[in-house]
Amino acid sequence: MQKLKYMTVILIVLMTAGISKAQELRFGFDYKIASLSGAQKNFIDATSYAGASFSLNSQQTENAAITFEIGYNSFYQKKNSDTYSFGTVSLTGVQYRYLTSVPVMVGVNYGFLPDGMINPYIGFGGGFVYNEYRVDMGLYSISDEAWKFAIRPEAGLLLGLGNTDLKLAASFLQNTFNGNEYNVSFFNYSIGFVKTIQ
Amino acid sequence: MACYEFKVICIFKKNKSMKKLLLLGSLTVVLLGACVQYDPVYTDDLDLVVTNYDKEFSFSTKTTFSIPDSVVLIDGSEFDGSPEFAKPAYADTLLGRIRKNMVDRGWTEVAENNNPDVIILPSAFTTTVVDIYYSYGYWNWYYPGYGGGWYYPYWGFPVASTYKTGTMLVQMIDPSQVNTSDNIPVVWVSIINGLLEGKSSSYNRRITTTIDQAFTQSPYFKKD
Repeated sequence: MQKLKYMTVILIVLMTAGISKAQELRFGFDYKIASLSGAQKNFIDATSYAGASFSLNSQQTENAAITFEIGYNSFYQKKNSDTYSFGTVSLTGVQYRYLTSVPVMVGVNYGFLPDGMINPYIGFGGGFVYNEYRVDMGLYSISDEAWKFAIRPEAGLLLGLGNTDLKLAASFLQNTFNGNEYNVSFFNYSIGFVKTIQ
Repeated sequence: MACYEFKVICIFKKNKSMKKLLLLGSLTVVLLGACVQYDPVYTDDLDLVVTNYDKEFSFSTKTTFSIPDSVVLIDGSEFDGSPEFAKPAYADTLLGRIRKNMVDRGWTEVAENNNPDVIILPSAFTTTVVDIYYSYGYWNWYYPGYGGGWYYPYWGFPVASTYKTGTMLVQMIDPSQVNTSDNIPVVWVSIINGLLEGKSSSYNRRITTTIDQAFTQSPYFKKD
């Protein structure tokens, strides 16, 4: 939790510094579809249709913006009855597997055609992710949680509609730095809007 | 009116359309979260079969087993005497299925006084918390004479539930390995846990399926 406090403070400082120098401030909301990759795909091999994020975009120059985003993705998969063995113990039953991931990221987006009707952009973010795992089997449930550092490259399009832009984006979130256990990586595909608020 | 709070909060406070968007977005996130709580559809989905065995025990060299004609109902208390038994409608299914699985794997059933290599002790309980070490007292009617009880040589098993459930507990003991405390080792255990819901035909189907599964996931019983 100490680590989390430090990270939260750093993210807030970065966001505040970005906002204070903002030429323009924009609020965004995205609906997100996600699919796990890497080792966690073995845990849940299913697409998450339950995802969303809020963001603040602080325009620093005509092309570049500092972004602050908090997101949510919930993965779920029902595994048909199967046998799991640990040493001399074997368990058979239906498993319900859940993974909830909450990324909190600060990043930079760079738009190539800020005055165009269509503005393609790329972005790179870093921050931390809260991951909660749960497995229900029979009438029993086990769960665990982990806070992880993460990085996230992103690319997308902003379609200008007055002071609101329609946003289409794809990103890849990767937990990193602190070991492999419970590391998560997933692709996000999002559709949403970005609205100028100042 | 001046707003002296954090800049972003001021912006949201002054902008009614942003308040609505934020509210709508928050509601969407909450609804998305609610959407991913999936409940099991069938009672069978909650059936759990757990087995464990003593890896030092040589199942391959044993050939005979004994099993009682009743299934003991355990209520969690320790006593000596004659216990309650499960209804024959369910007990016969359970016992028959255990016999079939053992015989199919090359074992021969003998009477309990005919020196069986192993003794199988099936029981059932619906209480919320049961310590399976206590179950010795329930078996004096069938296999008396040992002062200690059963013990688990290299492993233990927590059996605790706060749900209204039923559990079938099948213990296999090795009567030839009485230790200095008159305890007999449990060399195999199967714990089958599930909801007590449905008709008797459903119970019997689930008993059959789960007992078969307990033996399927215990390949060491099979004779070459």
